[in-house]
Amino acid sequence: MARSLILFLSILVIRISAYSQPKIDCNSKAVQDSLVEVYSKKAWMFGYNHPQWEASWDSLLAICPNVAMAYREKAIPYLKNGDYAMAFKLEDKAVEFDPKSWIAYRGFLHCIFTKNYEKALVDFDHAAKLAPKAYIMDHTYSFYRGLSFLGLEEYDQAEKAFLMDIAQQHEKNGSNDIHFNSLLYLGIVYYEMKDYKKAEKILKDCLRLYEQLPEANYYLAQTFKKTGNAAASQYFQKAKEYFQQGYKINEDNEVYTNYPKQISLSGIDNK
Amino acid sequence: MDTTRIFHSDCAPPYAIYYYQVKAKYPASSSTLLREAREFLKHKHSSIEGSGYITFRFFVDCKGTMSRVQVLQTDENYNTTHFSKDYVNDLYLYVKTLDQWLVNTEIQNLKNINYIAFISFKIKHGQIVNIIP
Repeated sequence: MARSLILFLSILVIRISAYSQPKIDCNSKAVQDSLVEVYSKKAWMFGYNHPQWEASWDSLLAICPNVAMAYREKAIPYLKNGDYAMAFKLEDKAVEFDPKSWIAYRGFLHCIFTKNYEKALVDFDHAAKLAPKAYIMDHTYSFYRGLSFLGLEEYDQAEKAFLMDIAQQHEKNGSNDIHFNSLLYLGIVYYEMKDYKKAEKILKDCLRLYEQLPEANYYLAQTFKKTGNAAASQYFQKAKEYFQQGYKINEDNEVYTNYPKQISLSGIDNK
Repeated sequence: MDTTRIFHSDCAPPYAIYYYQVKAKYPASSSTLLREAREFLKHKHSSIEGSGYITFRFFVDCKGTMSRVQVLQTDENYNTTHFSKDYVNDLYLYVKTLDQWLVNTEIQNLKNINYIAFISFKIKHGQIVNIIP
């Protein structure tokens, strides 16, 4: 009887161990990447405004709760729908688990989505130490630092940041075009500093790259208005026409939120 | 504050469609809204202390009527908080004056849709300093 019991228990142990899952190494990058690939496909079957989006990422986090990317993805609908408490709780977790990958992205969100310029500057300072001269969302870190200083009305610092942004773009290839929005914002900074000569030059440089950009036409018109140049009305008219034709600041996230100093039709009319 | 849902009879059912899916960001610039909101609050003699965000999220129906309003409030570190009820109500009165919402919009085969939009007020030391989006 005792031998039969031992035999029965042995078989039970063998069966249980045969069915148990292998232990997953959640710190392995290969494991994390595989999980993200699998659960990203599941989530995108629904899109980020569907409840299954969050459920998909929660399933991943139930396996490995240290996958930074999952927190970042889970945050998307909260951020885009104005729930900053939830969004940044999740973004903070992403930064906690992988600061090198996500601190600059959080800085971008502070700068563009919530206009929290002080926090953006702190994040970009950290990001520059972790990954010097990297880019985030099509721009250098200095570009977003420039926008943040512009938002804080610290124009001297904004000028320095945009000049660094432009210098960094030249480092890649001395003869390549500078991003037109770098020139737009540097021009606006000079306009705000009342350095109208520099504002005119830089905004004209911007228009050589993106002639239809309403903001560049508008701020050049404002510059001309300040200096008594009769061309002001011509550029106000251009800003209005291009705006009505659908031209706008060419940034992916402009559909969600206004960029700094972005204009509207009523703003052009009430110049 | 009106938390009920109002839709005109010829509007589509209230699916969860967001303003950015139909390119319906409010058509005034943030600086225009900021100027208007400050002026509005000045007339109301409304003031506040502290810093953070007050967000109104609501449905805009196909005729531009706003309803089912939610209020989300955080401090500047995005922790949930509560500002003075009177001030929030005054801000809501301002939000209700916004009458240029995009109307009769379409998405795929659906006509006259209603969409969800929001307006956030960024407050710094008692002063509105930015309006989002």
